[in-house]
Amino acid sequence: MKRPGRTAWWLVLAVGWAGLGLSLLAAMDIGLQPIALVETLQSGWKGIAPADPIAGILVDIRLRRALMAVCAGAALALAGCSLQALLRNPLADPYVLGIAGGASLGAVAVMASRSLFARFGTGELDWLWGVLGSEAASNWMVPTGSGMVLVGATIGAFLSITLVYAIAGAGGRLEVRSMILAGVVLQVLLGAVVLIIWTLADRAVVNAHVQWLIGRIPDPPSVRVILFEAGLLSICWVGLRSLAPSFNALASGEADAATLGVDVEKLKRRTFILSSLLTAGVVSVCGLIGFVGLVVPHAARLLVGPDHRRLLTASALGGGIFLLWCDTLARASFQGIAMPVGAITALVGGPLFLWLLARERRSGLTEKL
Amino acid sequence: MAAAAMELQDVRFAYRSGQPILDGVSFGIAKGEVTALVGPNGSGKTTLLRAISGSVKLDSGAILIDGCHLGRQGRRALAKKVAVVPQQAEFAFDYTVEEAVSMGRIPHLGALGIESAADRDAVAKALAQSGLEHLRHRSVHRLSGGELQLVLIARALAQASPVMLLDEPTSSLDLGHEQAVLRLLSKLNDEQGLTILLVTHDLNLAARESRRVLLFNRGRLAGDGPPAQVLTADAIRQAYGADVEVLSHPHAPEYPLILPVHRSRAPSSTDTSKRHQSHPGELISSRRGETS
Repeated sequence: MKRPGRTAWWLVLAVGWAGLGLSLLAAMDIGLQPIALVETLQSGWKGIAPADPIAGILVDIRLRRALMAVCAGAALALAGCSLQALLRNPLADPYVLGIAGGASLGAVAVMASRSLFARFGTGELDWLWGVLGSEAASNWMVPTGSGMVLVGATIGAFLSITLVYAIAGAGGRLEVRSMILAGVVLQVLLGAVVLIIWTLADRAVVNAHVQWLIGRIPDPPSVRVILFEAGLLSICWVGLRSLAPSFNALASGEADAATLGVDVEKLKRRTFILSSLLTAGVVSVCGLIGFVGLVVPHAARLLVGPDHRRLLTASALGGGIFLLWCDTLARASFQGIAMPVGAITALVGGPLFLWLLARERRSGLTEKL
Repeated sequence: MAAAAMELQDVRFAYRSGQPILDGVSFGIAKGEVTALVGPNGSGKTTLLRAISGSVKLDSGAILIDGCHLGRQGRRALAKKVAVVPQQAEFAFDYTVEEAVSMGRIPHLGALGIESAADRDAVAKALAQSGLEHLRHRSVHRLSGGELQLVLIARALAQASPVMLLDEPTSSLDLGHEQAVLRLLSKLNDEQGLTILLVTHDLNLAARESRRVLLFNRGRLAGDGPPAQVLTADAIRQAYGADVEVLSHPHAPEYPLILPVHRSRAPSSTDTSKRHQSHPGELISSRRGETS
């Protein structure tokens, strides 16, 4: 496929942003409850109360949820794209490498901590629940999206990727195959620890956890959470975009990149931290949503080429649009039964990824995998 | 003598203790000099190149680049002073030639990694100098070995470093591409005063293209000087265990011409005189196998 030149890249960006805007409008319009979108937007523009009394659904529920889906999708695709660049392998993503597993265990550990201490502790730690955002006596679960859950998820994510990296890099030579294998095994292992925590925790907490962990965009997320996710995404995008030339240099190996002025160890640390933060931010609010970080960068690479100065931005934009449509499908397609968006991304992303893989193997570009 | 572009002072390095790869290497290279580094397999040439590019940590000794200690310079600062052209490079993703060449600008980019107009100009100039403009949009996965070698040189040119280290730049090239690469290097040295350190297995190339040859053997310098002085039959036999005849080049007598001699077919003394008479070049020295 022909790559866009400098001018064409701006065109791709403009089309991408326009596509995102249109997708947001469409996501607001689609739903079980029919709402006159155009009239509501017009009245909102003129500063008058909309004629439709349930038009508040548009902004307070659908728009918030849509914005959250865009931020989460962009974050996962950005994390996946950076990890693929770092490992020089299009099969890397936050799930395959165990980052999401670590984040979910970290988040579950914090979320279930009150329930576990109530059951096994002696009450000295009661002051802690206020700090963790679980003040109400009836609320046995530290809520998703709270600061401490994010901290727990980030620590879990970072420890996982560090462990996977240490295992795969033992002996001085990093084997990507070993890294992916170690990541997959660690994901299963961490899942087992989550199951043990659930077995020990309060049943109500477990029910809430399951609903969260199977991958759902909150309905609706709070404005605070959306702003936080958007801020985190922006900071990580700036951080990773500044690493884009180094990601490019890494494509011909670490030794070669070093002679081009890249401090490879520093690059790895920064990428692991930023991709852990991005993944933990999504996992702590939306649970496990797979395939976005795998499929979207792959598809974006076909569209704009492998130059990470463009690819990172294209992946983030594409990830936002992809997850927004998957979420819209999840909430509006099954006659009022809200499907977990993680199941939809797997159903759409899985076959798409297999097709992309088969296509590239035919062209011989991924023979070395 | 011009100011030193680099200086090595008693450089020592071993992957395993007791098995030195670099065993007290000392030499200096003047700015604008073209030097060839030759030696048999495992003599430490590539390790030396890696040491100069900062990729291995020395056990002892010092390397000074443009008067500054190599160990005290960051990666980016070093990359601004020394560019490395590897023997080959395999790109994990299918970058275009222009994208690959632009990677040379990394040490010059600001904190946010955004290219300036000066960076784009440097890439365009490097593409023009290496004659790759017509291939700028082609994928690096669809280049011939010679074209890829030119891309790696263009990338080093975009790096705009005053010193260029090349590891076997012509080993996989046909004669046409080899000449194109060598012409480019010669032009860069003449016009820009680029300091070049060339690692090669090809002794004739070293003799022809450089004004100074460093002969390496078992981690030490076994010879250092003009090609005719260093590349003698004796020195080559000692370093490589190879039998050669060293002739003077028919069109440029100052260049030695090295011909390998098959032991079983090595000429007798009469054969040698016949060969001498029939060959336009003058026989400088020869070494025959003892069994001949």
